[in-house]
Amino acid sequence: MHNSNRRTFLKFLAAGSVMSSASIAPSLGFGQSNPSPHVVIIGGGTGGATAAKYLKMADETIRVTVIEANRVYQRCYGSNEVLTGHSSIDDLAITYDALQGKYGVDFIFDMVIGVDPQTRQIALKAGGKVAYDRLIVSPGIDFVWDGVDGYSKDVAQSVMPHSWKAGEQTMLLKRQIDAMPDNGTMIIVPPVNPYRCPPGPYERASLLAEHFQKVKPKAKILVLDPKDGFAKDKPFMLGWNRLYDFQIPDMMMDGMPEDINVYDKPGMIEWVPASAGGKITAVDAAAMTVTTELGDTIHADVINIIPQQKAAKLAFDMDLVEGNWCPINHLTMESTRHPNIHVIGDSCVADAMPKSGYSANTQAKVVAAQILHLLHDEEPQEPTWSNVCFSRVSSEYGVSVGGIYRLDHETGKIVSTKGSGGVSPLDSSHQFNRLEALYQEAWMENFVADTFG
Amino acid sequence: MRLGLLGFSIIACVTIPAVGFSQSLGGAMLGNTCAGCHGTFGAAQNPKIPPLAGLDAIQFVSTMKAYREGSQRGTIMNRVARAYSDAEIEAMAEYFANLPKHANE
Repeated sequence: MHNSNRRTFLKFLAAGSVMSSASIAPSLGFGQSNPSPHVVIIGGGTGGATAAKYLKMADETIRVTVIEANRVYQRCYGSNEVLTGHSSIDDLAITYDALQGKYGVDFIFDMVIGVDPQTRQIALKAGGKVAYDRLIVSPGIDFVWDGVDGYSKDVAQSVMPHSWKAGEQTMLLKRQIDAMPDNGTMIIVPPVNPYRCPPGPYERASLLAEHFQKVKPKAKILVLDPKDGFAKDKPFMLGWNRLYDFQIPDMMMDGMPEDINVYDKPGMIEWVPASAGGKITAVDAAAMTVTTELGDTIHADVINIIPQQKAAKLAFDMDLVEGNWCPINHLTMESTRHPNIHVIGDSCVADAMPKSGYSANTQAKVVAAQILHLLHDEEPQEPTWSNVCFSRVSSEYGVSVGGIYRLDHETGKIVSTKGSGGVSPLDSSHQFNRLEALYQEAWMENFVADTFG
Repeated sequence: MRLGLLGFSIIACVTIPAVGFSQSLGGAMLGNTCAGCHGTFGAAQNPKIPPLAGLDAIQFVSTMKAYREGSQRGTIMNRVARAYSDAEIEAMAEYFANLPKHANE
């Protein structure tokens, strides 16, 4: 967005139309003329929904309003299982019934067209304004369409889907996968860091390999990576070696168990890291090819490009972004650019924390606790966050990553607790991976319930 | 009796955590980070991941320490438990012990 547009977005209320300030002035705390502070949340995704629920659970007298564009949320986590037909797209749909009925969260289904941090008011597309005491912004991600010749939003919407936001993109990629010839090739292009759901592209390759083993056993999955490593890379590759005839590259051999298999030809999944020319520089949507940095042009039947990412447009419009992401004070998750506005989830800078739904969920709990303190004129409390993510290498083989995060008061950064966390050990038993696949299912169910239920 | 014992152990076992962070993390703040897997207020909807609400505090502390020291093998819990000091484990134990077992049903 051009700066002039951003100024318009931020200053939309400055002239003329503001009602008498006394009637709409946000209350500054308890004991004022308005005894019930109003916390507004823009974005009803994982971060926004969790924040709303935990605010109301902690203090039911607080007014909490979520402004969200869609009446039904489609979660991204679990969408790889839709590609394989293991789940239906309807399984990803979540309503806000529990948040509204059980916890008393108010919802406005509308778009935000302006926010004035000075008067603490939000303008809605359908008309009308909403005043807040504290605002939480959890807008998620947008894509960076530049950087690859021939690639664009139009190409993603018609020919080379990203399937990185659940919904029509998921179904477009599923139709292409279903229509792929039995000996076809699918290319997956993961993004550069940082991006939403770091293990997601590799779980996608895994679950599709399991699917293709059954329905298209001659198919190939080529992962062209702009990176030399990725989240849970070794546990994934060990699983691929055991299940999909994957030859573990020398660069990933450190720590691998002695009983790994050695293959003299590529299996169903091939992974090309950046150092071996995995970065793509161009696509041809008509010819269905990608061209790598080394100049190789490769044809495929399905091309799934997951583009580079940045904070959602709303965060840019609200002037909350530096570079591609929103800097925050990590004690309170409050924007360093505008007071009384807190940013959580994928769009915020959370240092050591990955951009995952689980991270957004624990960031939401921290921001809910801190906002309650701030509304009571109390000091914020010591925060802690966590991330837990289970991925399936197959329906019966799971891998995980966990992290417990704290605030380093010296640097102000979120850091991983020393000596803890990390990925599934490489010397684990088959039983261990079987259990992690079982836990993946329970984790998904409990996580969705903790966030929306 | 249970709380008395726990109180005693808090006094007896407070140590400086290896990570060098402050000791002031509260039970609810700590417990909220467990809820994504173990359920809101420790009441898991899918009990394949065990619910924590209403769990005996002494059992919670001994299980977490066993995960941390490695004498009990779990999957992810060994990696998670290593993040916490004795005092933090005890704060979580007290938080979950005081939650009703069937809160979220």
